[in-house]
Amino acid sequence: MKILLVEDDKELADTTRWILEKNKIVVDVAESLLLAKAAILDHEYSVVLLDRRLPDGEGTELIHYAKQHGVETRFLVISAVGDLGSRVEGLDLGADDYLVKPYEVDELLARIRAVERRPLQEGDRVYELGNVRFNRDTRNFRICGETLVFSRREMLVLESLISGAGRVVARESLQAHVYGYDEEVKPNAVEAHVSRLRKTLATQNSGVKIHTIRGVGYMLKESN
Amino acid sequence: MLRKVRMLPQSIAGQLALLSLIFAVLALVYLAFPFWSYLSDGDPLDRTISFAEISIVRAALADSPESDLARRLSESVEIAEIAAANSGFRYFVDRNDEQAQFGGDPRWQGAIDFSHPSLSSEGLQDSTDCQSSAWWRANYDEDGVPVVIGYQSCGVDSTYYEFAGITTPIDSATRFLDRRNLEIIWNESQETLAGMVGIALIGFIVIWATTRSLRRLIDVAESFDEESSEHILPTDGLPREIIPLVRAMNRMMRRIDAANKKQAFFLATAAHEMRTPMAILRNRLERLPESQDKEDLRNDIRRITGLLEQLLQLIGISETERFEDTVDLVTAAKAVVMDRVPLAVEKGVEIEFVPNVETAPVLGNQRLLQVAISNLIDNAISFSDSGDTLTVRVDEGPRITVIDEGPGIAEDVIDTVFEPFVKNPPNRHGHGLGLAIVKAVVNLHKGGVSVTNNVRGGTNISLQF
Repeated sequence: MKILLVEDDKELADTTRWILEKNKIVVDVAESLLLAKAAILDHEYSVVLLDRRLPDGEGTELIHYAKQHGVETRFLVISAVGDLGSRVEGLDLGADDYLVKPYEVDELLARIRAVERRPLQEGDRVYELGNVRFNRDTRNFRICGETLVFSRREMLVLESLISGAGRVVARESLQAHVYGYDEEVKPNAVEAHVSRLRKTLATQNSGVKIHTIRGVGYMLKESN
Repeated sequence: MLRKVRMLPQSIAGQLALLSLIFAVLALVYLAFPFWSYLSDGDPLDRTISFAEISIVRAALADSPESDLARRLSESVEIAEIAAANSGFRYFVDRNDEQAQFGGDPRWQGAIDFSHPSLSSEGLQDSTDCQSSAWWRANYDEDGVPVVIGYQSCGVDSTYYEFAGITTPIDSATRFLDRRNLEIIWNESQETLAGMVGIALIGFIVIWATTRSLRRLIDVAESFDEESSEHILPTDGLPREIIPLVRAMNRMMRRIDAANKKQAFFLATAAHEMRTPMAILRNRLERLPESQDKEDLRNDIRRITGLLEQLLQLIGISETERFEDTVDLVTAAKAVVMDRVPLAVEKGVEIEFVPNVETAPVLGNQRLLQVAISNLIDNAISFSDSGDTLTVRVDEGPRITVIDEGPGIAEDVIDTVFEPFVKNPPNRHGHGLGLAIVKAVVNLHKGGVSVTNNVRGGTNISLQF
């Protein structure tokens, strides 16, 4: 795995690079927005670790730049601003994840791996979580290599949950994904699908679990 | 230094009233003193005789052309009092050949030739000024009873009098606290007292006008809070004597404002800039071989990081601007719940979100409200065990409540949980700032906090807006 670290503080860049390299990750460092722009055009990176405050501008500008130039990569924004609003803003700007400085090393590595597993927009659209593997193009679910057959609705629920794995998927957005906006939905229809899906995942050795957050939505997460 | 004058009333009006009163009493004493010293001196009978003489002369010389001499004398209260006390009392007065008598005929009239040169050498020559013209008077003894004879002449105006038979002193002449004496003192002092009351009144009006302008100043000062950008008191309409005080206070407040601004900037920058070195420190630690020390150091960094985070939150509260936006507590709380779920699930804690209202609008700052809700939820998660359920409710009010199934809070410390650096139990992880931040945010929104223990265990913490 090769990643680009965009960080203007030399000490922080050096120590982070050391940690990542120790974990078998190849790291390039860009100290400014300008260098980072040149780097993503010249090289292919699985993940870009992006500081928001750079000497020559706002780090998230790089996300916009990458989209404009058709560069396919994933952005993990590392910011010194930790409040909920900034995190949401960062994700809205196209970041794949958001981490606040100073972070736990384990968390950084886990986030990098999680982000890296995300399919690129145009690449092979395969999600992996626990023992579950989902190919978005063929809509094929496999658990430990075995193909599973779900109803269409259940498949849509799982698709929605696995693409937002580790985060809460609001009930409304799940319903919208499964039914479309103009379809008439029976009350508790989504709950029924989730319930059946949960049973299936529990009986198979899926390694994932659907958590219900009453009043909010659902979250798919690797079970420990 | 100011304590020395504590014996005076604290209010200016009170001081004015007290000092005016003291001065009035002193003035009365001053005016009454001659009376007292005169009346308390010498033989009472002598004083009664003097008193009678003064009364008779006063009645005789009174300038009231309508009434005749006899009438003036008989209407004199003083003379009547003397006559009542002395059965042998008699008088005779001759003023410019108008005569009046009481108690008997004169015995001495004509016995003395007032035109005799031996008498005129004492100053009985004709004078036109009756106020300063000389008197002739004599005391004789009439078989053991004193008789007084007097003569005065000024130009065409001459007066002769004689009286006798006074053997008993009367009260008016001897007692200071006699009603008539007091009346005289009162009449004498009325003008002085009226002047004093007038001056005191002016004093009160000045004080009232001054305190009214000061009260306006107080109103302006009361309207200041920490968020006001400029703490300047107006000097318009203030008395000239007060303006230097207000200017000095304004200078003082400007200095304080500047210091506060500097401090806020310093804290914000310092805390913010600390994030990078902290991250470097955390990274560097990874180079050490695994050991208990390394794990301890990791925990130390975690604690410092947490403290840093909370300090930044606190700074954010004091920096905030005026509230103009309406925040929907339901939406805000839901976003926070979604954000905190992964942390809770990691610990095996379930979160329920129960919005009992469609919307819960609060005039405020969304970022700060979310910090407060987030801290409440994190606090509840930290007290929960795996398998517990944590409930976030939004109710009418609007009110948001976070209910956990943890051990609850001991009743003796339940009132202190919102104070900074209070931890229960004290050896717990964390900095004791989380709930202090919640309180600060709620105070900023003019809301209230309440903590109750659940009957079935666990704690409810409510924020009421």
